[in-house]
Amino acid sequence: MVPRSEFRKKSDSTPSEDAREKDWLIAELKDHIAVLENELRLKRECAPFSEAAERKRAEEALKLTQFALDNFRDSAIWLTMDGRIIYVNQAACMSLGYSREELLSMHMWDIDPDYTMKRLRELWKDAKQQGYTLKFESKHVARDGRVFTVEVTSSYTRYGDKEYLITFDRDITERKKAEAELIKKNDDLAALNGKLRQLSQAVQQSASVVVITDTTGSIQYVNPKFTELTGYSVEEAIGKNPRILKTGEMPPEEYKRLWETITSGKDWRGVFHNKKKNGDLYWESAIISPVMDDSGKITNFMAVKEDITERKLAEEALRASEEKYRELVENANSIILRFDVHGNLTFFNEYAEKLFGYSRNEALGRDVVGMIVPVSESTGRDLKAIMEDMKRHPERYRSNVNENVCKNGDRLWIAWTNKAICDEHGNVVEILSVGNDITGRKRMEDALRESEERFHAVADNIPVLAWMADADGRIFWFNKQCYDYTGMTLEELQGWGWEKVIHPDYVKSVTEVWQSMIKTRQPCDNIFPLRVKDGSYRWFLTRSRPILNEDGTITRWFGTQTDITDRKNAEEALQDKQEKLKVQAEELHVYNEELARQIEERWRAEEALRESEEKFRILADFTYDWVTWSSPAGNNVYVSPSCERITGHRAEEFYNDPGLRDRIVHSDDMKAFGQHMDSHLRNASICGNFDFRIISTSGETRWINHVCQPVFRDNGEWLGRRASNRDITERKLAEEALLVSEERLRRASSAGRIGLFERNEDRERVYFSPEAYELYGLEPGSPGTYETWLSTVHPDDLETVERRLAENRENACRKPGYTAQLEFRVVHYDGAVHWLEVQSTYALEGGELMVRGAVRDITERKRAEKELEDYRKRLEDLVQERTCKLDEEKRQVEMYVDLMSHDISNMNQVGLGFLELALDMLDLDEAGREMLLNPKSAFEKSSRLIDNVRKLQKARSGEYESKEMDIGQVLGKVQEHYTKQYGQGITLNYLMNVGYVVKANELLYDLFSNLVANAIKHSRGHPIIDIKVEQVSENGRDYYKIAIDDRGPGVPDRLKSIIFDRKLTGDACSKGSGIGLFLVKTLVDGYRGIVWVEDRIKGDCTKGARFVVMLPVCEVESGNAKR
Amino acid sequence: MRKDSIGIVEDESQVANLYKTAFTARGMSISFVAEDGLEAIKAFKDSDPKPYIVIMDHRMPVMTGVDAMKEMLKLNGRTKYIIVSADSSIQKEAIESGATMFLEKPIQLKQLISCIENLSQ
Repeated sequence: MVPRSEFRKKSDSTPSEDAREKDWLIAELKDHIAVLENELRLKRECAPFSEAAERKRAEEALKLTQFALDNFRDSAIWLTMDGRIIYVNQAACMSLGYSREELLSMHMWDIDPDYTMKRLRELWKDAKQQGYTLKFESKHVARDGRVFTVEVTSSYTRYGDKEYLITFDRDITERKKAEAELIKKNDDLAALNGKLRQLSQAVQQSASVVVITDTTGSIQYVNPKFTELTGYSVEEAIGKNPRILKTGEMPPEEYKRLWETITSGKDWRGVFHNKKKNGDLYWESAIISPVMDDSGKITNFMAVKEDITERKLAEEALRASEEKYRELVENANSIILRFDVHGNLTFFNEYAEKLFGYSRNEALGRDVVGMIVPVSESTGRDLKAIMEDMKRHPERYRSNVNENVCKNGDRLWIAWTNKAICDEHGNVVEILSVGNDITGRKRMEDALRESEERFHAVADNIPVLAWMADADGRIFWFNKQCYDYTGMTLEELQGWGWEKVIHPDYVKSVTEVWQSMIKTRQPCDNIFPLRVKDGSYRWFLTRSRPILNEDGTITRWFGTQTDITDRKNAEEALQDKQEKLKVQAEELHVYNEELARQIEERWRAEEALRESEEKFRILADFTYDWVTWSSPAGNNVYVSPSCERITGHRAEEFYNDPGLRDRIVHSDDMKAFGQHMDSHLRNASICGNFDFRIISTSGETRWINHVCQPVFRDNGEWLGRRASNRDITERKLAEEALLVSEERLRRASSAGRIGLFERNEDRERVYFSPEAYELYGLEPGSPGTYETWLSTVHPDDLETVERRLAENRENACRKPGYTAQLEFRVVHYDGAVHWLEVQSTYALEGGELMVRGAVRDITERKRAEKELEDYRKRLEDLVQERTCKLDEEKRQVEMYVDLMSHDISNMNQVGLGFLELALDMLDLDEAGREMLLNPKSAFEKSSRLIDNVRKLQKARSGEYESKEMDIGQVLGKVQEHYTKQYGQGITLNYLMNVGYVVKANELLYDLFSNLVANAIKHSRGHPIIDIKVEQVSENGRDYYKIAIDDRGPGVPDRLKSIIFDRKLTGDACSKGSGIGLFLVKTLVDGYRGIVWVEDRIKGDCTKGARFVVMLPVCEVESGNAKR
Repeated sequence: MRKDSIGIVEDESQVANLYKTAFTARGMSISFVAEDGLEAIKAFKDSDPKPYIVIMDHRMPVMTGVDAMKEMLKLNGRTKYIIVSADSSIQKEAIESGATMFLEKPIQLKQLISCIENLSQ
């Protein structure tokens, strides 16, 4: 029994309700008892005879009913009208999990929440009105909270005046579940049916051929496509074997394999070449699969096939075309690549892979800039910007040369030919580039230019004039000193132009000697005067030597010219020192000869270098170039003999006919060629690279690739332009063909031998390419380990190499992508020592530092460098030694001159003094006086001479301090001196005017004094001398021009230019000018002025001479200088 | 002190002879002739009366003319000195040290005599 309190709680009753219910319950119970009593009375009244038997029978019947109800399999519950449970059978207790007592104290809604009071009343009403049982489904809640579906059969019953509702509830949970499953199964089945119908339709209407056979291969089913394709009807096909389609092309083994595959339960895929009913052949691709039942047993085979004849034919055509393209592109010895408008690579041929070191997979899709095109070139050009421009204006870049970079960091020079590929609307979609590696050629040209520059640097710095002539004696090169000395240009001097600077009296004899030298091929020395810049002539010792090649023919003449004017002067001035000076001069000759010999050797070395480069070029190329060298004015200075092979014209023809080169240019290319040549004349620094055509003597059109660059001397002087013209006719023809089909190629030279290596930083894995093995001189087959490599390094370089490697490692860790260059020696296993240059790139890959590099042999370069260094050192030593010797000798000579002049001066004074005394004191007749006056004059002259020599020596050694001096005042002093000395004996016309300031020293007086003395000495009869000073301008500079006129016999034209040369005048001069004029010249030179002699009356050399001195105006404050 | 008394200092004996002959011919008296600086100092000390003028070569063995002059000026400040040299660069030093006159060699006898006559007046 549920306690009442719990019941209350459940019914949520208030205490008053509780009381009412209790009352109601008592009343009920009373009613019930009354009913029972009434029944009992009725029974007693109706069956007074068998009351006991009746009661027994009734009790029996009640017991049976009770038993039957209790053992009924459905729950039976009696309810009163207010929902109270008044009876439950055993089954109800079982299914709800409550005891009977518990249930009898509960209401119906305690076990079925749907039984609300309202519902109960409706039910009640329905059952009472309809008079039969109601059937419906409801849900019961068991004690443990389990909810289960029940089928309720409810009946209304009236017993006495009491009404009841009897319900029989059957648990139908299981039935419900079964029902749901059944519905689902039905749905699935319907879906499956739909699908099957679809599949069947799909197969029937498929665009592919479907054939189903049984396990023996007998056709069970074919779809309409089969009939359409093969021509066999369904009826014809069923029961046949698919081999009715066989052509016999497929080998039996293949069929065997097919059968084995499908019988083992796997799919077979393949292509058949089959025959239709009408005999036509067709291609089909097929998938044959086994069809299995649920147990995995193969029941059928199904083939799904597709007609691929069209595709097959297209593929075949494509394959053939691609094969052709591939052959062209892959076998090309040129880089062929394409990139789209974004710069991303879309094609990269095998040659490009090899050259740049990128595999196709790595390269395709990547931007060329940053990969094979560096952002900027080593020359500083901005390649990124150029590429951008190229994408926009591909037509401007039909051909170009630029630097590219390999994966290992090597930089290469590539000559590119570019072609835009357009879509049908004419929009550029891709650019096709064909490139050739010209690094070798470029390096060669650089090396050649460098070696030429080095030669010029040496030649231009030797202290003699030097020149080179070809075998015929035509001079084509002079060193810088030649130009400096003569003030002439290469154009003026080359060929036979040098005759212009030879003294007119010597031209004939020099030319004769020269021609006989060329004829006899013998070395020759010759001395003759040459005109120097200021117009005066100086004596030169010329030594000419032939330069022979290996077979003894003369390739060049090499000559030096040594200024021996000073030597000759010194000989004259100091006759007793002549012997010594001769020895000295001889030494100088020996030195010069040694120098010439060294230059010859150097020249030979250069020639050998050039030859080896030439050989290299022949090897590296299948052709060699027509090289020209033109002067800045555009004239041919050099034309290589190979021009004959290319143009059919000999080099001589180009020399003799300067217009020939332009005339052989193809008429279509004349304009472009002319523009290119003009641009050279306008701008020296232009480098050119373009193609043009010429017509050879045989009438053939030949394509020429013209590459030119300017050549400068170290001091920046433009020497002209070097051009290399390569016959690229073959290439052009091939290129044209390629451009027509967009798939043609061009040949190129390959770069020098380069070895490659790779290792990880732990040196566990080392790889050497076969070239690297060779370059390191490793014995073939020796293990490629780091230690092996280290063992090749020359012991003297080992420490440096290891130190550098450690530095590189450090740098590489800080800066990924670090590259390093290292030069060191290795010892080959045969003992030979080689210089190698190694370029390494460090990269971090997966946390590991990898080193990759390229190595090449630079022994030859090192040798050339060392040789040059040795030459330079030897020259320096010789010059140093020579300078010391000359200094020492100069000191001695100065000392001798000083001692001698002092002593002679004293002697002169004594002689002169006594003669003066004698003339003064002795009473002599005219003849006696005359006898004394003569030696007196001689002594005076001797004194002047000594004085001048002493001043000359001091002037030359720079002993006099330079200061501002007034020409007017100095000339005034000179005038005073001579007027005082000669009195009325001379007329010296000079109007003194001061303010002519020049930079000079106290010897300025001696300069003019000497000129006046010279004028007096050479005057006939009464000397009349005019002195004039004026300011003039010459070559943009202001000078004071001092003219001293005399009325003597004048100076013959041939002597005018050499009169100041003490040495050259000698006996040939009618008036021994002595050392005086030499002193004048020396002083004027020292004052940076000019002196010359001219006729007093123009054109008549017999009416007296005019000595003109020009001294630069010294700019002093506030216009002291005369204007 | 006679205004026409002269001392001669000259290492070249022939030059000294020339001076002696010329000056004697002019009626001047020769106080002493010395061949180097030291000898000149000694001769100057011994001379009595002291010469009015000393003509002195600069470049001489043992002691130079200017050095000798400095010593001699200490002994007697009234004597006038004419320094003779081929080296014009010592002119400044000679005048600053007390020489009355500097003559650059080669000198003409006439010139020398006119100088001496000017000093003696």
